[in-house]
Amino acid sequence: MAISALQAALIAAWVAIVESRIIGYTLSGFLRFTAVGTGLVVGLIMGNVPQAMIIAATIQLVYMGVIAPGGTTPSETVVATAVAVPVALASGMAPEQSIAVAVPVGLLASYLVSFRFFINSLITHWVDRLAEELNDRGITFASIILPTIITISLFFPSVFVAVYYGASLIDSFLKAIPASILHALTVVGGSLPALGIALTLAVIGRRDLMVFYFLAYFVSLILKPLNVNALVYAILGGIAAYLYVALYYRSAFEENNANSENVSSSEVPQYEKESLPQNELKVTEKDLKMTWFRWWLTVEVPHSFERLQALSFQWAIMPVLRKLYGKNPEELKEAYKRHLVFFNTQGTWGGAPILGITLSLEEQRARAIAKGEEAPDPNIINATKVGLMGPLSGIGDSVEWSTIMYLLIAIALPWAKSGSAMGALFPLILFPVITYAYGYYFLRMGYRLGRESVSVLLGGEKIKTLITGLSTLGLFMMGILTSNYVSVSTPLKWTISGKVFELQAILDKILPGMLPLLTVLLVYWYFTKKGLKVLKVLGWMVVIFFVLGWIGVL
Amino acid sequence: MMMWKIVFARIDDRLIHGQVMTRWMKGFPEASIVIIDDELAVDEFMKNIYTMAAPPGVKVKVFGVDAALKEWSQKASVEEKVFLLFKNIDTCKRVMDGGLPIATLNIGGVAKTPQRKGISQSVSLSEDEVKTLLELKTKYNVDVYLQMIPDSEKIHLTTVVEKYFPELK
Repeated sequence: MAISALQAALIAAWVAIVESRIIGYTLSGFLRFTAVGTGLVVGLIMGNVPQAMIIAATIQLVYMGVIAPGGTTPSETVVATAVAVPVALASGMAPEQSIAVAVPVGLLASYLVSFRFFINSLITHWVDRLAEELNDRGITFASIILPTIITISLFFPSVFVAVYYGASLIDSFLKAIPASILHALTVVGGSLPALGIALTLAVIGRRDLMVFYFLAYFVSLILKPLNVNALVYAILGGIAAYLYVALYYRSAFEENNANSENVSSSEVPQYEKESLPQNELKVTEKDLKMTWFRWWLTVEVPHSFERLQALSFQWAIMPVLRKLYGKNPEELKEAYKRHLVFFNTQGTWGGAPILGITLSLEEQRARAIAKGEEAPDPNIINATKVGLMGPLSGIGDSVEWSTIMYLLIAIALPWAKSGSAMGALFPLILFPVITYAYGYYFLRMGYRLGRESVSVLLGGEKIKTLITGLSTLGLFMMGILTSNYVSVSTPLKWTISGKVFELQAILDKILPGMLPLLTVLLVYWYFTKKGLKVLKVLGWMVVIFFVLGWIGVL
Repeated sequence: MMMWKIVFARIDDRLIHGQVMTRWMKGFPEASIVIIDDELAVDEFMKNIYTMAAPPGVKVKVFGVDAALKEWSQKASVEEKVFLLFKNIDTCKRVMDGGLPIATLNIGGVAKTPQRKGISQSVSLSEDEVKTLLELKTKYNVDVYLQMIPDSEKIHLTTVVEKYFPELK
């Protein structure tokens, strides 16, 4: 099977659009960090969804736990998948061998992403001038449309070339290399899921809950012959998580009830906005909806090393600012400029409440100015944004990207592994929908309660319980994935006085699936002792498992 | 009272955030986070936010410079692993001048301002800041390096000076 120019162009266009991030924060993030969504699209383009899903699932396992704190990932999963899947389909490679294409491509692509941040930095000063001129259309072009075009023109040609010429290159390469090397590549591909799983374990980072990982691992070993459906595992994990949270945290709840009651029922309502007569200096429900949509859609589009998300923040609230300060060009100019300074946070958990708080503060200020009263100092607005963006992004990166996203992926992976499109559709639809919905809820809360909303968001026992429950389920699903999809086994055997001793059979007698579990735990242990050096571990694992496979130990 | 054992020290104007929580912290699961910052130490609201934002099981303490120096010098038999965070280079210098020993110093996040030169993806430094860092290096023999997350490139202070501030050599 060959790849036509049209197919290569369609795949390249897909990657370019995902990389431009113009399809929304949690949708483009999902597609960038994970493999299954792109696997499905490539499968549709290549006319072989089942095999594409199987290959994408294999790649996915290596890249579990990949997120982008600070904007760049150690490896661009979307590019790795978009190149490796068609190449593997066209050359008939085994799914494990496709890892050999995915890993180097993903590493190279992360340089392209850094380059994009650099280019975006050049735009920022132009946006400053446009803000000075109050040129809204110009700002939309410079902050949103131009970065989109730039990224598309960076990624389209490079991915097109890699996909179109990659297949024949890899094909002739495969024919030329000896079987022992092919075997070694398969061994590497089989072991690398241990990296993805260990990374997810480390990022969820709840050593107190690791028992659920082991529980799931052995439950799944027992149930393996029954060929249990993916959802059954998720439900079992859900029950385990519920039981744990109900038994352990319920008691903590009751002890703290007195405190949390205070926060939630007596303090908070004081911050409720008194219902003011509708006038033009009022931020309406419609304004909140529109602001959230503009932000969610473009958070990462003009991301640059210099200002990070400042340009999208300003663009998101630009219409509301115009409404509030429209009659006062000097104030409007100042407002545009104060929201163009460095801003960086996690888009939903940080961006949403901060946007709400900002709108509420700007509204207060605009009203005071209109009435000729003393207006709140604009420095307070900036200090609030800057103070909150850090801690909220920490929680957002841990909960949303590291836990919720990979939990959905883990639940869907067995479907993907069996070649079903459900493996992609399930997380691809659920993740953006869930995050969009609660993000809007957070934004409204920020607007209504001001900065106290953050205490409610972070301090509530409900949130803590939910996070613990999700972490428990996440670790449980990692146990299931370890026992099903990490393959490390040895073909070694000895003949001693006529009797054949197979090492793997002996190991299985001691503890079935010992080697995969050990591999994951070793990597996990390294991460917790030496820090999350993902690339270093990736490099060493490739070398070690390649050599072990090549000399026939594995 | 517990004695501090500093396992990691970082300068980051956003203090605790995604890079710190999902990457660096994972390498020191037993450590408590100690933030030293005079402004933050008197801001009850923000102090509370930082405490709540930490992952379950991780303690966060916020001290002003003087309180931190007092806390550190307490004699005690139990050792506490400490993950130190500063908002700016100046505070770090004051703490070190006060006697707190820091062996390696990670510069993780310093936002760009007109006075600062962009050096890495997440760090920009002014000439004065580089001077301060050089002073710390010669005075206390601190190993100063720029690195955003464990996977990103490590740039040592000497490289920064050579490439971006050759006049300070």
